[in-house]
Amino acid sequence: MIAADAAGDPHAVRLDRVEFAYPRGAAVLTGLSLRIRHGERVAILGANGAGKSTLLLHLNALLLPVRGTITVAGLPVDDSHAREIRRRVGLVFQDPDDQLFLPTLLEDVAFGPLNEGLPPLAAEAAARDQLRSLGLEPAADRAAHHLSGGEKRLASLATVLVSRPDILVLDEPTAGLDARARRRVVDLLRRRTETLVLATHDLDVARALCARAIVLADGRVTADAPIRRVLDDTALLEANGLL
Amino acid sequence: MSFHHLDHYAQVESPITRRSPTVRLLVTVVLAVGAALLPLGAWPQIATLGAIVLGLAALARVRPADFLRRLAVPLAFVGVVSVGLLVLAPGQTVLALGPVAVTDAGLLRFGSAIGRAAVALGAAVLLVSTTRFTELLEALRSLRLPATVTAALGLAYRFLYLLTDEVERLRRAARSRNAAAGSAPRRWLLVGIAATALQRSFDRSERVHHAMLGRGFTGRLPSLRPAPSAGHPRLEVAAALLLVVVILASARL
Repeated sequence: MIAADAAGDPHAVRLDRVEFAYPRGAAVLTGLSLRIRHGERVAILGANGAGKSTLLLHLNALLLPVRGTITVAGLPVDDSHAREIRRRVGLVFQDPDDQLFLPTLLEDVAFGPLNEGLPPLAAEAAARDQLRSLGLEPAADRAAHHLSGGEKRLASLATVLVSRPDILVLDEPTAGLDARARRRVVDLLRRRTETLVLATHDLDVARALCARAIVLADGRVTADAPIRRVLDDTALLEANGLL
Repeated sequence: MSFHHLDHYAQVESPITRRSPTVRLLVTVVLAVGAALLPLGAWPQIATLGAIVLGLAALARVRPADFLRRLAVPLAFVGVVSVGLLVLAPGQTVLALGPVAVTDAGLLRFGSAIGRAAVALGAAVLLVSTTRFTELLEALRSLRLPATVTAALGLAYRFLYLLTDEVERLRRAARSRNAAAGSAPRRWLLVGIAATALQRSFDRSERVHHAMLGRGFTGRLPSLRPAPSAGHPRLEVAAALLLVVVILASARL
C-alpha cells in the first residue's frame, strides 16, 4: 500500500470542481470535488443517474472533464497521461460481459499484461498465476459464456488484478450475484490492500468493504463521512434515493 | 435460440478429433474447393464427395440428425438464392409456371449448385461440429492468417454469443406479455427485436471499447501466443488432395 506518491501527495484521487456532460446530453457531473487518500477504501453511493459510473470512467481517463481538474496517482487526467493512469488504475465494469471480450479467459486476463509490453510467455504465466489465486485456473481455456455469474465476476476482477494496479475502481461488483458468489467477491476484496473506490447500490457490501462513503446526487457530493455515520442516517439515505 | 454446444462433437473421442485442427481445416478446404470445381452435372462425383463427407461425419460420431439439422439452414439459403438459375438458363422447357419456364439447362445448373453446396457446407458443418473455435483460430494462425484477422474473428465469436443471448432475452420478454399472435404482428415484433438488439449491441461495443482502453489497448490487438507451426499435416492433406484431384479428373473424362 502506498502512503504517498513520488511527489509526496497523500491523495490517490483529487477532483476539483469537475464538470462533465455527454454530447447532446444533460450535465452529469456538476462541480464535483473530492479527495481520496492512498490506501483508503471509499464507497461511492447514489441513486441511478447520480453520476457514479461517469465518475469512475474519469478515474481511468476514459472520459475527460469538460471543466475542473482531476489528478489520479499524482498524474493529471488528460490524454497525455491516459496510458500511465490506466496502468495504475484497475477499472472493473458493472457488466462482466463488457470486460471479458476474448475467446478464452486466459487471453482475457493476459490482455492487460500484453498491452503493457510483457512478452507472451510472461503474460501467460502472470495470467495463470492470477487465475490460480482466484481458483479459476480450471476455467482458463473456457469462454466467458461458459462461466457462471460469480465466475464471470471473479474473472473480470482477475483481468485488472493481474496488472497489479495501485487503485482498484469497481462499478457494482456484486450486482446480480447470488449470496455465495457475493460473499466470495466481498472476501476477495476485503483482502486487497490497494486504494479501493467502489460504486454500489448494495449498502451491505459498502459497509463490509469501505470505511468511508461519499454520496452523490445530481453530479455533486451531498455527503462525505465515515460509512457507519452515512448508513445510519436514514433521512440522508432517503433524501438521496438510497432507501 | 442457442448454439452454445455447436462444437459438442469436439469433445467426442474419434479418429477425426485426433487429427490436428490444421489438418481438419485444410481437408475441409480441399473438399469444398474440390466440390466447387466440379463441372455441371457431375452427379457421380458429387455423390462420391458427399459420401466422403458423410463417412467422415460417421467417423467423428456426429449424429446424422444433428448433422442434417445443421446443414439444412445454410443449404436452404443456397437454394433460395439459386432458384433464379431454374428459369434464367436458356434451354428446353421442362415445366411452365405461367409466364415463367423452368428449363432443362436451368435444372442442371440448379441441381449442380445445390449438390456442390451440400458437399462444401457439409464439410464446413463437420469442421465446426468437431473443432472448438479456439482450435480453429489456432489453425488459422498456424496457416499465417494475419493476427488482426484472427483477433477480430475472436471478438466476433464472443459477441455472437452475447448478441444471441440479448435477442433471446428480448424475445422471451415479448412472449411473456403474449406479444405477436399472428404472422404479421410477429414479423413486426422481429423487426423491433432486431432494432433493439442492434442498438444494445452498439452500446455494448462502446462499453467493451472502454474496457479495452482501460487495460492499455492502443489499437493493436496483442496475441498471447506466436503463430503456432502448422506441424506436418502433409500426409493427410496430400491424401485428401490426391483423392479430390482424381475425382475431378474423372469428371472431365
